[in-house]
Amino acid sequence: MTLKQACAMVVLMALPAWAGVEKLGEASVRFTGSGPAGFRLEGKTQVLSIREEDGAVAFTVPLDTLETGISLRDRHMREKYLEVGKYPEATLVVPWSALRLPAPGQSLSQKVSGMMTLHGQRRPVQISYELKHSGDHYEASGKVPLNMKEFGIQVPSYMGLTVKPDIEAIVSFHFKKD
Amino acid sequence: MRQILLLLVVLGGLAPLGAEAYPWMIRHGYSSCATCHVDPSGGGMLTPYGRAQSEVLVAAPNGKRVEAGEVSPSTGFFFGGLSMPEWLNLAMSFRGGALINHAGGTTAVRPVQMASDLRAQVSHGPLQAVGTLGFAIKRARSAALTSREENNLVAREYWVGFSSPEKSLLVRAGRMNLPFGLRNPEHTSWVRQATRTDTNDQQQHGLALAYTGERLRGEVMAIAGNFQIHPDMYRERGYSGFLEWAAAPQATVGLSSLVTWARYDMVSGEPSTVRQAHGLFGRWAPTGPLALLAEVDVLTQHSRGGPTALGYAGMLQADLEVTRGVHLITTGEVLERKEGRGLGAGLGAAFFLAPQLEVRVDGIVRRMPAAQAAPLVYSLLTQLHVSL
Repeated sequence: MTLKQACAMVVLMALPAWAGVEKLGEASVRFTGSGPAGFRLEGKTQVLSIREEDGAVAFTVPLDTLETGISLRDRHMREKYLEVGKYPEATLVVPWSALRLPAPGQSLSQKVSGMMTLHGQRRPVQISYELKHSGDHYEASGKVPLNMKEFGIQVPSYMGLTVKPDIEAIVSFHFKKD
Repeated sequence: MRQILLLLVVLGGLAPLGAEAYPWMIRHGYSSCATCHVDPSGGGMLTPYGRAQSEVLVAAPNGKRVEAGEVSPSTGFFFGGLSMPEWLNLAMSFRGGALINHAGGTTAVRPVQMASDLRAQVSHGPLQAVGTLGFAIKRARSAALTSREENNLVAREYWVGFSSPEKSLLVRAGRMNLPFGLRNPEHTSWVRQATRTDTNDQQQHGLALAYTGERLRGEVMAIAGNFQIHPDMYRERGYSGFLEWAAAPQATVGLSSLVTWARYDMVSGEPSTVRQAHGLFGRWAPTGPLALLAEVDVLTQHSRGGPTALGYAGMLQADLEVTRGVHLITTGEVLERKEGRGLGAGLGAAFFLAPQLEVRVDGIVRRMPAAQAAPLVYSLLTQLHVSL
């Protein structure tokens, strides 16, 4: 074993539970919003990247991939409200130390704190997540309540219909861990 | 021969003439109606947001509009030519066409004028008032303000309402569509006719409370009677209501209930008549372009001194949006009454050529409920619907 390999091994052994995460297949990323008179809004994408950085795991969604099912609404969302030209991504960073993994065949649910960067604003958020250890992989799902005003996003209003500023982001994906 | 002519006249009123309510908007995730319609249970006058959706989601795409990336001002009242204050919402609706009926070797052709209505909504904070005034060359007698055989002034809806700040609740009083089942545009479908809940002229006066939530919506109405029919002994009193739950953005299931009493039934003339309808309905968009609509209602009618008549009405409809603005519609219907069982099937195509401009063609074949085998009746209906 070379010195370099030994150092690498030491570093790997020092990493907490989420080290070496590999996302399997496509993810499901959604946000839901609501408005007056039962109005509901849902945006979706399957694009989610996961990377490790400085003792934390970072989940990143490219916002120009979000679709709500109505092209004109997508255009307004991207250009007027999210301003994806200036702020192309939403990133959630959660410290590894806060996360736990269930034993094989087990599930767990937990609430943790993380930092969300959206629309150029970085703010603490609360994340509720569930993990199921199924076979050789994990099934993860999580929810993050967000307030558009807190992130400096103009509250969408169109033809007399104004969306409530509180929305919820919901993410689910499968992953493997070394 | 007279019987056949009578049958044709009756069927003339039974062809699926259009209204303005599109339950297939469920395919776009619109499980509730109140964002696009002034009536929280759907149909009729559009809100400004609903007018915009008529271009964004319903009408065939227009290159210029897509390029502009915005809804064109022409979706507004009178092609956007008249700007209105925020508190005022105006609309004009015209529906007309031609109907060809063929039964027992006889063919009849006639023009049909279904609606020529001016509609207005005035809003001030949580208060709103809605009214319609129109003209009917024939029929729509139950909504008529005048009492001529033909050429009547009609007022289908007029009510005042008070809504909660989030618009999830609306209490209103006046003449309204009965909340029951699917608010489908084919107001002559048997599920609408047999329950007497169509939106052409079977509105009633009363007091209603509507709730519209993200997943649950419903409305219940205390029916005081239709004060546009005379004398009072033919007016029905009771209640009508529905509750619909969105199991998913593109799937709902609902139940409806109606009980009325009249001193004399307006149709049969029988005394002290209790009429009931209770049913289930659902909407489901399993794939993007396909929407399925279903309703089944159990019907009972009991008059003093007579037996209780049991029956049912059902409808299953598939609406396929071949491409935006072009819909193929297939419908199956059943109606069981004391006279026998009727069956119907329809195949239609609707073309939304521009926002609030629809051309629709329907072919319908029906066998009416009858004690003896009734002849098959074939109908071809073409209609134009313009809303300004």
